[in-house]
This record gives sequence, structure tokens and C-alpha cells, in this order.
Amino acid sequence: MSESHGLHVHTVTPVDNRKIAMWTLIGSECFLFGCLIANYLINKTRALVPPFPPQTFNVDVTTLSTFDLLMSSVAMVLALHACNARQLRKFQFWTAIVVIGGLIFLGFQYYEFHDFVVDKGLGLTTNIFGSSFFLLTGCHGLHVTVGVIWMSSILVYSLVKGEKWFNSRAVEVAGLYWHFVDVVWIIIFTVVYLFVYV
Amino acid sequence: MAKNLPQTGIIGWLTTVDHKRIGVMYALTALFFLLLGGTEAMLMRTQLALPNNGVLPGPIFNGIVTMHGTTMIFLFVMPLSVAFFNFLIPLMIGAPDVAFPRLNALSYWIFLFGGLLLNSSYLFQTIPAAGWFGYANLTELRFNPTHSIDFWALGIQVLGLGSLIGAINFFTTILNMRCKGMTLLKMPMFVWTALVTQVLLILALPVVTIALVMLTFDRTFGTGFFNPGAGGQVIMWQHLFWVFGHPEVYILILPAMGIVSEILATFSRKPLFGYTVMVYSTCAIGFLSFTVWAHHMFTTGLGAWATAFFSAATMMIAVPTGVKIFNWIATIWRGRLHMETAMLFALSFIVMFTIGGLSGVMHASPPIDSMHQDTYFVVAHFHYVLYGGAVMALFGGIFYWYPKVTGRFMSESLGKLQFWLFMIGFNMTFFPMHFLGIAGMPRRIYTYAPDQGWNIWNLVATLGAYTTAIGGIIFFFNLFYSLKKGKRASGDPWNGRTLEWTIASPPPAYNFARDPVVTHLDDFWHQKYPKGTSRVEVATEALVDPKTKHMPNQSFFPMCLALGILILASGFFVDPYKETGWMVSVFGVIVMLGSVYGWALEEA
Amino acid sequence: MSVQSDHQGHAHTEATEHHGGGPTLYWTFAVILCLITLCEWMTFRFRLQLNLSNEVLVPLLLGLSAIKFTMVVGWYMHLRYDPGWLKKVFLAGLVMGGGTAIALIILIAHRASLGAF
Repeated sequence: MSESHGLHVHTVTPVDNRKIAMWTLIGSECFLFGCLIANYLINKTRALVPPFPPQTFNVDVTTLSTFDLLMSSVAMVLALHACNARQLRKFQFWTAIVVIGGLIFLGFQYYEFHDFVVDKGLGLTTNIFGSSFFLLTGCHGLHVTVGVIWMSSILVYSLVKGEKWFNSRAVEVAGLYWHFVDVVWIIIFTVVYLFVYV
Repeated sequence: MAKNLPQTGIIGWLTTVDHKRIGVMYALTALFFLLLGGTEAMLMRTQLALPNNGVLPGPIFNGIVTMHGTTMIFLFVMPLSVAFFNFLIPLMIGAPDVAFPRLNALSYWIFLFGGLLLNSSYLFQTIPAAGWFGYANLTELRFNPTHSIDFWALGIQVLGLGSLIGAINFFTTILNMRCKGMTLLKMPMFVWTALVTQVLLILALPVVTIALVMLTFDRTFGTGFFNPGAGGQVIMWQHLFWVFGHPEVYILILPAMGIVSEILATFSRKPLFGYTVMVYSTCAIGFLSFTVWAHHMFTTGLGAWATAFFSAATMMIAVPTGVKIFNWIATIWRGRLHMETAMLFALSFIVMFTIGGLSGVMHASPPIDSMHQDTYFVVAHFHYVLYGGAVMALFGGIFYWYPKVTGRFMSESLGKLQFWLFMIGFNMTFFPMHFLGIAGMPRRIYTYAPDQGWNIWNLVATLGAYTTAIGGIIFFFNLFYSLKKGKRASGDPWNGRTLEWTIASPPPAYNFARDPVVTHLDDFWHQKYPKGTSRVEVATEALVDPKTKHMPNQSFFPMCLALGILILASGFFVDPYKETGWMVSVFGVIVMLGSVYGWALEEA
Repeated sequence: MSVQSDHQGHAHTEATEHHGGGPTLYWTFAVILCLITLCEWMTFRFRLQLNLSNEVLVPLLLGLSAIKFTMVVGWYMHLRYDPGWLKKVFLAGLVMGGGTAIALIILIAHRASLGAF
């Protein structure tokens, strides 16, 4: 049901179906992350045993991972621009940067989780603060992972198909997803990390 | 491969992406689950017919109560509504199919597998028994150590995913695939109620997803979200569940209201009264449904301000609802009423839903609700709105659109017999429950002492249930008998108003030979009656060679992806999860990934 | 969602595809986003030295992240240039989701202020 095989699909709006679907999914995910963030904020002070938030977070390192995710968003929008302009090598380059940026972010998350669990003694089941924290950031990390797989698939497909494949729609929709994942982290960074003493 | 799959036979159905076929699959599966939910109801009523009865021991009774509610809501009313969305939305808006045909098939397969997952609890003899709303911390491992609750939690989780995917699909379809000239305010009322329903699903489902994830984590990994001993809170479950749960009941009723609007207009030979006001009321109901959830929690100690707020909001939501009732009455007022079975069901909706609405408005008052809470008065209320309301409307829809789907009428005499058995049986069962509630009979008890004064009404209720059951048997007979022996129906057997009646019954695979162009609300009616009273013959659209129409290819991948999701969920039943179960889940993820890649790379 | 190229090219392309900023804007925004993140970090790091109470810190940090949020959603996600109804699809989810989250926090964590015992 797309233009891809000449089927003339009359659409009421000038917006592609897939783009509408992705924005709708994003609207839905606002409720998903909204509830996870609310749950975290409610529970962060309710832990009955240590460690507590001030003893665990390393805001300096997390700031670096925030920079990283932001830069991957820049790369994403440059990749889309290159795809629209049909500049193959630039498109592939920036898509690769998005993938690398995502992987670096996941690396930071792994480092942080490892530090929490092994060095600071905060695991998923240690206390309610830990459970809520890992549920929220774990859910976000899962979304990043899906994004990395998605962008890698686009990169590989482009490397295989070359000049024959510039699907701006597909890249734009993937980009919307990626940016949203970044935007959720913008909120989490502030509300979880920067508010640790609030 | 996808291009050459046969369109007939088993493969044809397993790989279909045609919204009409998927609609039929949803309907038949939902009706199958109706049989399960109905049997569960009969078992409960048999046990409660007499005091100190020994038909069902307590624990089993609790399981039957839970499964009855969960099945009727998630496996009957919701999927049957989706069956109507599927079959009708593209036809009513003049589109060739939904926006994402393969995603549509995926939603169905997820529904089927989720329903099977939930009901496989019977096979393993670990029936969930904590109510359809699964309150924590009764659902925690400590109080429910078997996998029963996991069948419930993961079953609903899987079903919710299917519903969300379907909602995004229908939402996009309605916004983007309407034919030329069909502005939003020229869409049939059913499409409007469907649109608002999708919005409710899209926004409410994530919340129950989180709640169920927390519950599953508590039970599988030992987190303490609902465990006060770990710092968690029991009340968190109630809030999260009802933030979803209240929009959910509007998800159940809005499609039915849309069906009633269509039937009443057609069988009164009059347009729906106050169409624009109905649209705004529907939108208002949708929005307000997110502001009332804690009225399910009036007795939990919310505090004066919260209690007052939710009470006011709940009373407010009665206003647009009441507006709709008045508009329906105005629709039939001075109409030339044709009392076919579909019309009888639609008319009964108005009366039954109003009764349910009145008891609902009573609960909106917290002091009164503190008396009603957990009594049969509430059971009476929600059955009047859900059964007397939604279910009656859905049956009306079946009788109304059956000729379009199959090309044959259902038997009117059997239909009317069923209708009266349902009306009598339903009211016999549920009206006395108002009295039982006021007399203090609590909900969810498996038996009662003979000296409480509840005996006679419980017996009457059970007799009503058996009456309904007879009506149900007649319905199923009618449904299948009419397939072969029903009177043949034309493209426009009811003198309808909307676009689905402009094409043949059953419709061709491509729906419309030429994309419709509309200029009015109820455009088909305007074509037939351009000057108001004298009728112009408008022929049913002639069939064309289907090979001249490009249709989306069939695909195996939706079913495969759904299977992967089922395998992922199944991992949680393989103990211990951290050692063996997770490997099953990972295998499920691999199946999912493979299906996604196959899907993305095949020719649509 | 098939991956094949759009044969119809720009026939159904949004008119907005060609404006909405090019690499210059994207890089400019990137620098601004980095600077804001730096500000956030410094505000946090030096909150005691700056004598920032919670009443000041919370709105300040929320405001900074709101600016980042708006920049990414409006320009990187192109929503600024998309039709109004698409903006409403997102805003409905955002506003209602945010409202529900805030309501939950008040109802559960601040029950005392609502007169609960």
C-alpha cells in the first residue's frame, strides 16, 4: 500500500502513511515513558535500603553520553539530507555515524549499569529506587538497541544496493524514531540525573 | 514468493492481508471466545443459583470469574469491534484497503495467539484467579505462586500489543485514505467513533503495558514495585491499571455507539440527528475518559481534593453521553421505523445503556459509591452498559452487515426469537442484581448463606442466564445456517445511507471499481434521494475483472512475527527464567527478527 | 513497510521537504544543543557555589531541557514544518501523557497535600 509499485494510493493529506504511523507511535510512547518517569520520581526516595540516588549517579559520565546521543541525532538529520540529495557516500557515512553514536551510547549504559551493579551494589532488585531506575533506563536502552538494529539494517541495505536505493520515506521514518529516542533521553538526563539532589 | 500464494484454501486465509477476510477472522474468533466466556458465565450462575451450592469450589469459582471478565472484554467485545472496524472502515471511507494490510494481518494473529496463551491456563490447570483487573499485591508471587497470573499478565500484554498495532493502522487509514470529497465531517458516525476509539487505545495501552511489565518483573525477577516490604506500593497498580481501565471501557462502548447510530438512521429512514453535536460529544467523551479513572478507587483514601475532582469529572462525562442518547431518540422520532432484528437490538441499546448509565451516575457520588463498592450493584451497572449496551449493539451490527459480508440475510424470525430471549434473559439476570447489591451481596463470592435474603434473586438471575443461553444457541445456528440457506441479498438490501451499500454483497476483493467521490454526508442517500422524497435508482457498482486492479500481495510474515511474539512470551513459563526461560525468549526474538526482515524485504 | 524506492519520486512528496533547514542550520543547532548541555552540566556541578535552591534549579534545568526538546522535535524531526494536525497528534500524546504523569505523582507521592491520611 505505497507508491513503491505504482499503486496509486489517494491520500487525503500530503503526509505519507508511514510518517503518520510513526508520529502516532511517538504520541503513544509519550504515555509509556511518562508513566515510567512518574514511577521513577515517585519511587526514587522510597528505597528502604541503600544505595540511594546521591551515592550512585556519576553525572559527569552521563553528560558525555548525552552529548553522544545528541550528536548522533545531528548525524541522523544529515544522513536524511544526504539521502534526499541522493549523495550516496555522504548518506552512508552519516548513517554509519548514527550507528556508531548509538553503539557508544549503549556502551556508556553498559559501563554505568556495570558500575552500579558491581561497584555500587545497586541492582534491579536491590531496592525500589534500583528497580524503577533500571526499568526506566532499561526501557530506553531497549529502544536505542532497536534503533541501532534499524539504522544498521538501513546502512547494510544501502551498501548492498548502492545508487539504486534512496528511500527518503524509510530513512525519514527511521530518523523520527531515532530523534524521539534522543528526546526521551533529554528528559531522562534532566529528571533523573540532574535532579538527583532535588 | 508472496506474489504466487494461493488465494483460496487454508494458505489463502493464513496469508491474507485483505481487510474483509481479516474482519471475518476476527469475528469468528471473537464469537468462539464468546462461547468460552458464556460457558464461564453459565458455570458461575449455576453455582450461585442456590445458597451453599457445591458446583464450583471457591478457588475454581475465582478462576472462572477472572476468565469470564478477561475473556468477554479482551477476547470478545474488543475483537468483535475490531472485526467491524476491519470490514467497514475502508468501505465506508471509499478506500481499497487499510493503510498497512500486512500490519492488519499481524494484529489478528497476535490476537489469536494471545487469546490462546491466556486460555492455555486451563490446559495447565493454573487458571488466573485474581479478577480481570488483577489487583496487586494479590497477584504477587507470594500469594499466587503458580504461573496462573503469568498467563493473565502475559496474555493481556500480548493482546495489548495487537490492539495498539491495529489502532495505529486504523488511525492512519481514517486520516489519510478517505476518498475524494469525504472531509472528516462527512464521514459516517461509525467511522468517527472508530477514530476516537483508536486514539483511546493509542494513549491508554502503554500505561497497562507498564503496569503488566512491573507485575511480570515482580513475579519473575523479584523487583518490588507492588511490594511494600521493598518500598513499593500496592496503590500504584490500581492507579496504573485504571488510567488504562477507564478509557478501556469507552473503547468497549464507542464502537457500539457508532453501530447504533448507523442502524437507527437506516431503519428510521432519517439522517442521524445532530451529527456535528454527536461528533463533538464523542470527542469530549474520549478526552474526558482520561480524567476520571480514580472513580474506581473512591474507597482507597485518595483524599478530599482528589475524590472531589474525580467525582466531578465523572458526572461531567455523563453530559456528552446523555446528549448522544437524546440525539438517538430524536433520530427515530417521527421516522418510518422498520423493525428488523438489527433495529430491535439498536433500540434496546438506548434503553439498556440508559439504565446502566443511571446506575453509573449514582456511583459517581463518592458517598453513595462507598455503599456500592464491591457489591452486586456495580455488577449490575457494568453489565447493563457492556452487555445491554455494547453487546446488544454488536449483535445488531451482525444482523445489519451480515448481508453485506455474505450476500445473504440472516433469518429474521430466528433473529427476533433470539432478541427476545436475550432481552428477557438479560434483564432477568441483571436487574435483580441492583437489589442484591443494595441488600449487601458482595462481588466475587462463590457462595452465600441461605439466611441473607439473597436466595430468590440469585435464582431468578440464573434462570435468566439459561434463557440467554438458549438465545445464544439459536444465534449460532442462525449464523451458520444462513450462510447456506439465507435469502439472497442485493448490494443495498436495507436502503442504506453509506458507501458500503453501493457495491455488491459480498464485495469484490478490490472494493471499489472506481474511487468514489462524495459531496454530502450520507452521500449514497443523496444519490438515491436527490430531491428529498422521490427515489432515483442507483445501480450497485458493476464488478470488473480483478486482474485489472492491483492488490497488495499476501504474506506469511505477519503470522510468523506473531508466532515469534508468542514464543517470546512463552519463555516466562519455563522455570527458572534466568537460566532456561530466557533462552526461549531469545529464540522468540530471533523468529521476530527474521520475520521483520522477511517482511521488509518482500514485495508488498 | 517495503523498502523499495519510491517510483513516484516526488509526486506525493510533502512540499515541506525542501525547506526546513539544511546542513548549516543542523550544525548551528548542534552547537547550540551542546552548549545547552554544557550549561546544564555546569549548573548542576556548581549549584552549591551558585547558591541555587531547588525552587530555582528545577525550573532552570527543566527550561533548558525544554529548549533542547523543542529544537530536536521542531527542526530535526521537522515538526515545525509539518501540517498542523500532525503537530496535534504529537502534542495530544505529549500533553495528556505529561498531565497523567504529573497527576500520578501528585496522587501517589503527595497524597498528604490532597487531604489523604
